[in-house]
Amino acid sequence: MSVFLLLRGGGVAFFADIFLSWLLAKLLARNRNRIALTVCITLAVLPLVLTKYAPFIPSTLFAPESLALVAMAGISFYTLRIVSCYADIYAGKIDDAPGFADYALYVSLFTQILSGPIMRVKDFTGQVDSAGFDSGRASQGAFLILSGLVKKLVVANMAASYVDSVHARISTLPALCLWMGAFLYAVQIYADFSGYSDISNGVMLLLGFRSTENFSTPYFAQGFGDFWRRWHISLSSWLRDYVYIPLGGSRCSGVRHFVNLLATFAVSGLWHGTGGNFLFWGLCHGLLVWLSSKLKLIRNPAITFLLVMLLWIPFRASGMSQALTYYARMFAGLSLSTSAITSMIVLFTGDNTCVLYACVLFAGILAMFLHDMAAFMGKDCPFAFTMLFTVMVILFGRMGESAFIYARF
Amino acid sequence: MKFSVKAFVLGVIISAVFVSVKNVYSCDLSAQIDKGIYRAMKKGSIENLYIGSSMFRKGITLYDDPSDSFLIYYNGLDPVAESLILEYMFSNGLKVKNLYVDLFPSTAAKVSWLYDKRMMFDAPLGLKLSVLCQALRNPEAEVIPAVWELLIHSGNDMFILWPLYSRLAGGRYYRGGYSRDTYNRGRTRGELAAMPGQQSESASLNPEQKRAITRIAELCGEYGVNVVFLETPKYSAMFEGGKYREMMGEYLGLLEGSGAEAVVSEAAAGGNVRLGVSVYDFPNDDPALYEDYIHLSTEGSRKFMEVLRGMEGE
Amino acid sequence: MAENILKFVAFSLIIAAVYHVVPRSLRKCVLLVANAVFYVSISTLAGGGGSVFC
Repeated sequence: MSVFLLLRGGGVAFFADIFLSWLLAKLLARNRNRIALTVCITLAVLPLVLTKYAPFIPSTLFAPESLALVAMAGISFYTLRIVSCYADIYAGKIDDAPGFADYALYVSLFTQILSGPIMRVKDFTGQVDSAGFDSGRASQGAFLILSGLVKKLVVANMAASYVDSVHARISTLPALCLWMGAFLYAVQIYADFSGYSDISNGVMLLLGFRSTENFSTPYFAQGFGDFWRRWHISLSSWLRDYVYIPLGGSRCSGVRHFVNLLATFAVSGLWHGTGGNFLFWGLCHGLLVWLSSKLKLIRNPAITFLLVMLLWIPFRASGMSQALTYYARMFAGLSLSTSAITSMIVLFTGDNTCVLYACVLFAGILAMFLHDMAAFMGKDCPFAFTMLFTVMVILFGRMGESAFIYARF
Repeated sequence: MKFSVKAFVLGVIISAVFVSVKNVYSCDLSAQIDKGIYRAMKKGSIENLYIGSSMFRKGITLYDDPSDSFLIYYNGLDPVAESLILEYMFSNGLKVKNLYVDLFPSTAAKVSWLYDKRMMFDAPLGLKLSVLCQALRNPEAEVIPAVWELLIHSGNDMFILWPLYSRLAGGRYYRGGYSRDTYNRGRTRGELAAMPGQQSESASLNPEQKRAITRIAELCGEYGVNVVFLETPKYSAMFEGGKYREMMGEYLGLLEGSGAEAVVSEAAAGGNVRLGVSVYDFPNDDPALYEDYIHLSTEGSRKFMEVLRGMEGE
Repeated sequence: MAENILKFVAFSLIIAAVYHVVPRSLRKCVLLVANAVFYVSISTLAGGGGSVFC
């Protein structure tokens, strides 16, 4: 049904999909059995699979090009919301599907449709009737929006320039440039995604809703298990509740536990993208989550950050081949010569303003992390940070740059 | 953490003051390190003024030039921007005897681009506003992004970190162009062959750029300036396909009867012999003289200046 | 596009203001309309036009 409706174009298809998925939720609430759940989840996931993975389906089985499929905006995120709603109904966490208006709001909420956070239906419907203006929340929300703008317009967009330059010339740049590119991509993806989450949460607070924590100083994690409790928290908790635990979680034999971890992170990798590089990224994370519980060395925050940073490379690369080239070039002939350092710095702008650009970018990175640490430690410096962020956005915010990274998933 | 309205207002005020001060005084800073539009204007009169893009910066070396000369260059500077700069400088009293304008048909084939942050940094406030007005004439331009890019955002890093920038860049400029400290090496044939092509996608000049070229010639007529449209040498690969010569023909046709002269390489002229067009001979197949297809190396620039001096002597 | 991030923030602020001004019974309507407007403007249609947010 959803597939057929995809033919009609994104907007109409989406609204029809909401109605149909709501009907299915209602039916599931009256028939809580595995078959009904399987059917509902299959129909919910089918549009996502067909739009994202259609090119990989053998044409002997199916001819996706004949259906003129279009990728609907936010499909990766709202599919997870629908599936979690079905699973919660089946598990009895909610008695019945919410009313259509509440359900439609939950699936399509404009602040979260593109890049999350992935809220649970109970958390949302529990607030939707009572949410009202709260000056304290509004003030927090306004600050979060400002913080998100600094992260995206200043830090992420400035770092993106360097990262794009590196990825365009992997084969010819010195290794030091590639290391800086890897570091700045780690900065970029964090600033971009947490910036979006901040803006999204800020708007929710302005509306009177509670915010959904999505990041908690992830680059200070001690081990990969800890990393996934701090990075994209709404996704990792979704995977834990709806993939990992149903598979058996850690309450099984060691081998089965390991397999469950790999399977969960394979799903995570494939959710992010269709290439082998995303699967590789997911599987490596699964392996390192398992290793973190065995090896103390991996729980060192510096080692954790280094490994996370290195694993962002296939995530950013256009494919596994490019990622392997990147790794090879990074580790072959790494030099700290004057020429290599000069090349690394000049790459910021390609001219003699490179040092200035680097200074502004790293000042932005420092400001971002100082704020995140202050928030994490519960230290309140609203005056200083509001003024600093306002000045940074106005003077150094870069317009006309790339879209949010996670909006493409 | 909560939002502080007072801090936000204070932040906006600080930013507004900073941006205002920057837009008024940034040109003075550039003048201190012997570069830019305002430095040229402060001279009051210049015998030989060169205005162009990075091709002029790398092709025209002035540290051996005994005459009173100055170079204004910005990356990708096109005729539209050049006409704005020249109109402003002439109308604000700069006297120029000989003006040399960068002649590069490929740039004149593109839609005008005015968002160079260093041009905006070097420009006095009046010129900044002219550039903004010109940018807004583009039907696709939007007011807020244009104002943001050109007036609010442009050059803030240079202004705020000027002490650092002037130490790094200060000694590298002489009369607006390169000082002796800079060396751009030539390439090997293989290196040039591996470079991405720099051919224009279009085979005809952009209408707005054509109007600007004509306007430059008119301005020089109004202010009694001898104007020469000067093409720096290009590597032989630029002439493959014939587009470059075709556009050169169109460009030279615009200048016919305008009172402006043109000086082009023999390779580019390709038989386009016209009144007012002088042709010079320069090796366009020696890779050591080129940094890439369109920029000369330091050796190439020295050789080119010799050729130009020889032409003046004739 | 960064200027569209600012448009998104401006859109959100307007919706938040309207949301708190209208009677409580209309608040869900406001959000539903906002969601519809936002989604239609960003959805990728085969051969469709652009969006203020993308």
